[in-house]
Amino acid sequence: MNKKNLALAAAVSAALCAPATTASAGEMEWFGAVYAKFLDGDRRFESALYNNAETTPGEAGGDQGQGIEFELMFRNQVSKQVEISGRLKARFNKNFWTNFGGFGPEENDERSAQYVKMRGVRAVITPGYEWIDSATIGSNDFGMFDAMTQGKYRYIDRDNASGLLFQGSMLGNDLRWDLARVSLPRLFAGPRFVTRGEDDALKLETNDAAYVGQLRWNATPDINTTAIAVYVRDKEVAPDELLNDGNNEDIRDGTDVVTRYDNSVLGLKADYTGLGWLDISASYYHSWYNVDDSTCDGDVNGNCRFSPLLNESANDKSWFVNLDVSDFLVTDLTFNIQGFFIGADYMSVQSARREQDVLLTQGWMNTHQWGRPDYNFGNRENGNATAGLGYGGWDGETQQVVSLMADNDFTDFDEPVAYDVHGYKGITVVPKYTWNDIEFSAEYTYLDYDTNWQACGGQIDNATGQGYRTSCGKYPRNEGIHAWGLGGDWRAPYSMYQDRETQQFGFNMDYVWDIGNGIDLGLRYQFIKDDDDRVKSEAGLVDAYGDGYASGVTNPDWIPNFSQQWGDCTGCDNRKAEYALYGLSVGYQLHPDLYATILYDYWDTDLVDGTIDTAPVGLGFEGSNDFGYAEYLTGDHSKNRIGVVLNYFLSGVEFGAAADWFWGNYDPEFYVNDNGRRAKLRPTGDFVVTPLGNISTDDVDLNQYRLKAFMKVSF
Amino acid sequence: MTIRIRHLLAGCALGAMAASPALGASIEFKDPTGDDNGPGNYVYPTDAVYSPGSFDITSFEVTPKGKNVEFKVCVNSKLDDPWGMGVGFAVQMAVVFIQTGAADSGHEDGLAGLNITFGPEDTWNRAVVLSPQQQSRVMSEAKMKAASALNDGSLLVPRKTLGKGKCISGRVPVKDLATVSAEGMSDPFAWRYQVVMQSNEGFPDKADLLTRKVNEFEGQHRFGGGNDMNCDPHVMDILAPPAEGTEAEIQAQYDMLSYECDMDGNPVKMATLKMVRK
Repeated sequence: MNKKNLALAAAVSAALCAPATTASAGEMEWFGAVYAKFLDGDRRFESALYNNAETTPGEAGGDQGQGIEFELMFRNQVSKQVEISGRLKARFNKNFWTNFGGFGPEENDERSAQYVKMRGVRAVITPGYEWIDSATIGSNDFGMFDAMTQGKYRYIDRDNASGLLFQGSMLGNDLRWDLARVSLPRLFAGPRFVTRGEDDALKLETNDAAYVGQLRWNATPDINTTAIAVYVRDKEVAPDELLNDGNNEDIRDGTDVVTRYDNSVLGLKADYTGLGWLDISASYYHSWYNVDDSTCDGDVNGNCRFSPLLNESANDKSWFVNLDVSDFLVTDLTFNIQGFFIGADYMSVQSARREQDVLLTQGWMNTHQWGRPDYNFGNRENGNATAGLGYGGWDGETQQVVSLMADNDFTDFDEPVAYDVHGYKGITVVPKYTWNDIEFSAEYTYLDYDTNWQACGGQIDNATGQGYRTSCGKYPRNEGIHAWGLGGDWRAPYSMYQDRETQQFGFNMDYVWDIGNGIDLGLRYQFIKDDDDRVKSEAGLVDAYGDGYASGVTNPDWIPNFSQQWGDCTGCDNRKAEYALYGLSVGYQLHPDLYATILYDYWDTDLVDGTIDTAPVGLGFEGSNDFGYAEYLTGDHSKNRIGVVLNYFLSGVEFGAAADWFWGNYDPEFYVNDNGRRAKLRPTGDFVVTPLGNISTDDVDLNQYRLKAFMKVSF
Repeated sequence: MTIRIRHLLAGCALGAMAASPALGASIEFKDPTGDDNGPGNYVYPTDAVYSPGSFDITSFEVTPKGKNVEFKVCVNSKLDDPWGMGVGFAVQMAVVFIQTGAADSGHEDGLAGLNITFGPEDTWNRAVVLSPQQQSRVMSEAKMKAASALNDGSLLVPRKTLGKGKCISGRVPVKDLATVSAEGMSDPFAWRYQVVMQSNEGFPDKADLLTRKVNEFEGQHRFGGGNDMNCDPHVMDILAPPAEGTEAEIQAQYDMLSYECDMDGNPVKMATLKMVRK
């Protein structure tokens, strides 16, 4: 056995038998946090102590109530080579103070009754051998890998991911390796968001895993390279192992398994910083995805409509190139440039779902990302719309991920939004400059899409029934409102027909006005031009709209009439959207312990989403106004926001509060097919009949107030 | 004071000003790359957010700007903000130690969590913390863990610290920095400096001022290569005289950061830093 060699013995003298922490060996360290949250708002929903929970079955969000959670963490350096740690945390989801400690009808619900859950338990072994640095057994967020391959799990899941992690180094730490076996989350890491088939007798979940390997080589201080590989396999009991299927197999000689799906990903990355003024980095990823043909029924609204993976086997690639230029021609002028391609079929089931960002662009405007919106009718009994955070959307930044299970559940309005960017390809340029103490930054992004296709790239032949129904079964629709309305399609990147192009412009200015404690002034402007020609052929029109959306329309007043509503008007379903944001913020240190920010934002959006007869192709239940969320939103939208953010620190405790007041107006517009071209309609009645309901011709005023305050004590 | 002495002092002041770079100019210190390993064998935490070069100082610049002095520390890696700090960087924290006055008027011990000391001729009068955390957060931590330095004005936290490109910068009012020098002038270009590169730790140990620990073995969010107690310097990179970025300065850094512990993890010899000056 060779002990790990400590370099530069003249500079370092190892302490013998010293515990890993300041505690004595074997002594348990205890620390933790108490977190309290106060929610208020005028939507008046109280399903949880989180604003948003749209997509998790059985869950919903809310804007009411107070709750508190207790988190106790422990750590023990058992010996020089062994450390354990863990967390005990009270469930917070519905732990309202009005439960009075758990009494009431929901006392047996663990989300209500303040039950304490064991989380994050693990052991870290550091044997001191030269060939391995450490082994971690148990809970892990696996953040040492990569957002495109094995991503860091989001916070709620962070303690729920567990596995084995082995890490080592060679060549004086210039070469580092990581090997991991991650137990596959059975609640979402497979087709239809499960890792099992439909037959309970064949179910096998607990040994499904992702295997990850990574090599990082720091060739020189200026050259770094990484290779990473992931292999995931979801196994089930082989069907012919059942005695009663006529094959007369039994398990006395062992039980065979079959692969429900497997997913392999290879990533290669390199960066060079040796030029001083220019850093270059590049990464390439390739994925292979194989799924059993019997898993999905091939119907765009069938059993795999909601799924985090493709419904058919596929291979694809993604790549990124980054150039970072410092002091370009002028001191204090920097450029960050990114070119990127994310394949439509690129699949990595273990990629990051949120809290990581693969793109440089600031992305879409988060105020419009209400995932299952209700703008048309304000139906308080529409469970989908009540589960989300409402008209104001999110205030935080966009985190762009490559995952069909981009996850925004259990988040509050002041947090970032995760947005899936499958199919994105283009370039982003971000210059930054400092002039006379003013910080300027700008952005230009051009987006094309690998998901631009007609009938998902398949044939369109109405005579033989070839079209999106046969070709698009490969792609899960999830919410099915991709490139429809104002936004909210953060985990639905596929449309049946798409011919889209997007440009984004951004400008920010920040300045500290040297008065008093210094006033932080901020200006921001963002403009997005988003055009989608959708169907480009007459045959495509028949395929996309010829059946009047089949059973997706629940408005009895809307009668499909293809020749009148569409005819040969390929421009009638075009989408044209222009989003503009103007923002101002003022921040000030009111007191050494208290910092306050006031914000004003104004959004102006012009949207034309086809004609009055246009709805998302493949429309399903989402067209209903009772429990659906596909909205008619063509027209002018203006939205205002006043926001106040407070941060207050005392030794050992942090307080924060954020409040928003939104008010806005939606002025609907209506377009129709007028002899083969789209023309604006001047309605004379009180409403206009559309597949998505009878839409009032009057302006709609929308308002929302919301508040979140919290206290966090760390001990 | 006699007229002759007043004239003498005025002459010295004018001479000091004449010798100084013109207002708006700056002084820059260089540091070689590849020495982001503390006393020679420290390793980064294993999480992917700690990209290579993140803690490798390449330059340090001091620029008077009107009523303020700006301190800029540059590293050998593009700054990122994976933790949503909102100021252009997240994983780094740098502390600028400054000798603004006589050596016998300063501090020898570094700030809580760094486990460093300064030689008797290299004491510091001011320490500027360049952290991505809000000023209020840093101040609240300092009240618990560096109260005396905070109370006597030695510890300063810029109103705002920003990261852009590869550089972290923050400004502090001259009036908070200045002490009267032997020549009767307060001249940033005459001061002596040391820059210590650490990592922003949002969940620090009870005795650490937002610093990240160095243990014997690295962890996902812990540096490795040191000692599990507090006898080793929790520092990844510093400047070394003459701060021109030469290869020889790497060994000079290792020499300064060398340390020795006893069997109980108590310090026998602390890492002892020197100041640099142009």
